[in-house]
Amino acid sequence: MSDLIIRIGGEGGEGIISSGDMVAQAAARSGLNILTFKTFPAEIRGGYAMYQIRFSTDEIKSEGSGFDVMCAFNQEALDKNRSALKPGTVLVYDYPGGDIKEEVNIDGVTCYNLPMSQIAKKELEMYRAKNMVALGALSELFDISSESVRDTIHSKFGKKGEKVVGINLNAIEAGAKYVRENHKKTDPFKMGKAERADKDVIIISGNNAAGLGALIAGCRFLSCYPITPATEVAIFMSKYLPKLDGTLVQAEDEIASIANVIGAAFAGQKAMTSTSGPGLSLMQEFLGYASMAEIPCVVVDVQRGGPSTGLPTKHEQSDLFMAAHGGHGDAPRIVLSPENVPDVIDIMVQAFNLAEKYQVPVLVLTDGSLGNRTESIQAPDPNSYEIIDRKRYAPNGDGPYKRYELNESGISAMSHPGDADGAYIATGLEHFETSAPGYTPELHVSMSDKRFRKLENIEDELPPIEVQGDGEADLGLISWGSTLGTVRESVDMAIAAGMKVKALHPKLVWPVPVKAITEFASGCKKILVPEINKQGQLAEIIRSKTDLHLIQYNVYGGLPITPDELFEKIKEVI
Amino acid sequence: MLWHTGCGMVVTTGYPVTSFNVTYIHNLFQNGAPTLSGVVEMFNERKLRGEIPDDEEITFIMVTGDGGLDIGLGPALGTAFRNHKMIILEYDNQGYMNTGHQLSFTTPMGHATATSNVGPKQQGKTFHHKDSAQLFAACHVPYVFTACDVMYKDLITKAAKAQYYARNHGLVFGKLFSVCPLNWRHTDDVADDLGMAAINSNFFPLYEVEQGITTLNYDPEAKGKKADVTEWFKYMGKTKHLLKPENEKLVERFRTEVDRRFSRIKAMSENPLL
Repeated sequence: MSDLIIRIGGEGGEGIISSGDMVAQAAARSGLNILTFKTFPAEIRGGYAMYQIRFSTDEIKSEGSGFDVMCAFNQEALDKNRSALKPGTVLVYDYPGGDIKEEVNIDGVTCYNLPMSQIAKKELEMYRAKNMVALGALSELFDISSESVRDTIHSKFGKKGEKVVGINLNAIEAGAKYVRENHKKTDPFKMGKAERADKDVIIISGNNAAGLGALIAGCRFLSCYPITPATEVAIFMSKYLPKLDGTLVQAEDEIASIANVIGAAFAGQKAMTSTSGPGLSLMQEFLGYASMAEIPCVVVDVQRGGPSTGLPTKHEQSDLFMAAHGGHGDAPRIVLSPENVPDVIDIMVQAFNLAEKYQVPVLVLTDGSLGNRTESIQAPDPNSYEIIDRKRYAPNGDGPYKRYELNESGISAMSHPGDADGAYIATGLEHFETSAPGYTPELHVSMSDKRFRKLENIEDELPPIEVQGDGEADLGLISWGSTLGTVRESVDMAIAAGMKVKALHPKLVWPVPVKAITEFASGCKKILVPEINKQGQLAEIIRSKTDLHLIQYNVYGGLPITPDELFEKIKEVI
Repeated sequence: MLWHTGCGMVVTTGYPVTSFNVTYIHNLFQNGAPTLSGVVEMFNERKLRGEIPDDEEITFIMVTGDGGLDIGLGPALGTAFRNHKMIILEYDNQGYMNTGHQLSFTTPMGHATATSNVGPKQQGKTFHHKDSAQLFAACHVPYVFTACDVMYKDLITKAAKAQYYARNHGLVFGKLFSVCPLNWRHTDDVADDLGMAAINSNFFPLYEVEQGITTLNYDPEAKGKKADVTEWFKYMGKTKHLLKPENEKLVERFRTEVDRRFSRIKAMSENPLL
């Protein structure tokens, strides 16, 4: 096997997510790479929940297109996925005795019934064990190593005692036994095992990776207000910050959160907040303050469907305009967007480094599916990262401290409260070099120029942007964030099909990396910009800085683009 | 009617299977009170213009959880200061339940939530619960009440009074004790006993402040029902750790604060000047 996708669907609260997690863990223990994809209902219980796991012996770039195996816990899950049950796929479904009332037969689809509700209720006398019965059946059917599944059960439930472990193992065996006694496997799908070169592999979600990256960068302060789908970042930090003598504050809203962060950063700490679109909206005024008073801070925005309350648990990349342009006045900011889970860690370190170096707010845009998805990754080595700290003030007898000194780089030394001769006003008013307020035309011009001068050459100071594919291309793709994984996979498909296609993978999205984009574009006959929003936000900000003709591909239904869909689009526009 | 995002909204307003046969607004939860006050003022304005009959009586209710009254407290207080003719109803289940039980300012001290953990370094929330009813009493609005469905006659009487005051005088604030079996970790069937224990422990005094005069509606001690706070804790998973001997000091601090707050309400009830 090189690639297998299993999707589990059912009602939120039925254990879909935890059984999916266990399949993923068992697979990773068997040496496979995994990438998971989840959708939740907005409600804490009830509604359709879906968990998809992609396994591969090779590197996994995206959640994939469709699935090979569907496991339906109820009728709704079956109905929602019926159109995706293509010939060659497999269906495992709860029948008889469950929510699905009729036997299912679909042309070309291998259907295995599994009375998971009935076995859980009657045999095990515990309805909650339904997901474990399903897990047992899936392991038996698709050769998920039973040893790995047992190890996973022990590590998940070991703390709760042998009795709980026993109940779960019995449920697993009951599901497996039903399959052995009632079904003869006729489909070709097998997960199997692989020898992994690196032993130090962890399974981590995008949201946890954001926390981990921040800790590596030296962040020791987080303030946030809980919001879907970003809360997990703070939950992760709440576990680790106390161990590192750090501080976590749960504030009363996002205005207070960013204010807390700016206070902590002013006092000398590397600080961050995590939020989603509605929270970022509330933070805009204070982000302008951070630009004006030149206080380094990092904001992670786990984007969701908007505007307003929007689609709290769905996927969208529609906060780019706000990240780049939100707030009033001419305010410099940096916006970064990582591609996948390991990239989240690297980008978070880079975000803190850039915030510290340039004394500006840095926004990191992930999204709901990247935040929630887990991947098996090589455990990062904290010592392998270069860590940058802000330029600190040291009195040199050259007269009074100039917090906002005008110089060539635009970067002036920052003092911390209590530093000798380092007193200044951190102010949102326009100010002189000494920080005293001032409003003359010359001052506002020179200070605005100073603040923007810091970022003038930022593109040159970062590693070159990766280009996928080479030579002259009939079509070039430019995208951002988690859509880049899909781009990677579709472009591979297109190249394999003999097309001349290449792609640019920018992680810095604001200020727009004009040089890299222009150079990339010069080697492409046409440019396609796929992104998950209605307006074509990346395309628009590129247009605002270049005269390129861009073809937009906008998908905005609350789900990512699949590699197959993007491949079709490539064929259409090339 | 206006609902803030929250469990109450999710469960009762799923259009068209809504529990209410009126049109309603669902907006962001820092803005509910001022949004509804805009509706109230426009209603009055249109009455003045003769566009709405003079005898048309509408009750305006804004419903929020304790979470919405954390993030939306400033605007809600502003609405109270302006004394619009409407009801602000808070159902308080002591946490942000729809995002997975993070602490709210009304989470009592010592109670475990996803952001006030129990472990070697911490025993649940580190500071005392917000007293939202007294905050609104301090706004000197015409009517403030607290209630719990386990004392349903008391609740219904207060609802009727609330409607009278909101139609004729100005802003009403009501606070309801609201259980959350999922996150408080208790079975559904103990909800009534649990609510009664919270009231009998003095944690949730049932009272009203009518035109500035406080009346304690139920005094556990006078009824011979006074219970210790641990009687309330024993029902819930989120307070299990508080029953351990090593946490007795923490519980004592909580008990002292609860009794102090109750005694203040009782003193106010006995003296109209207070």
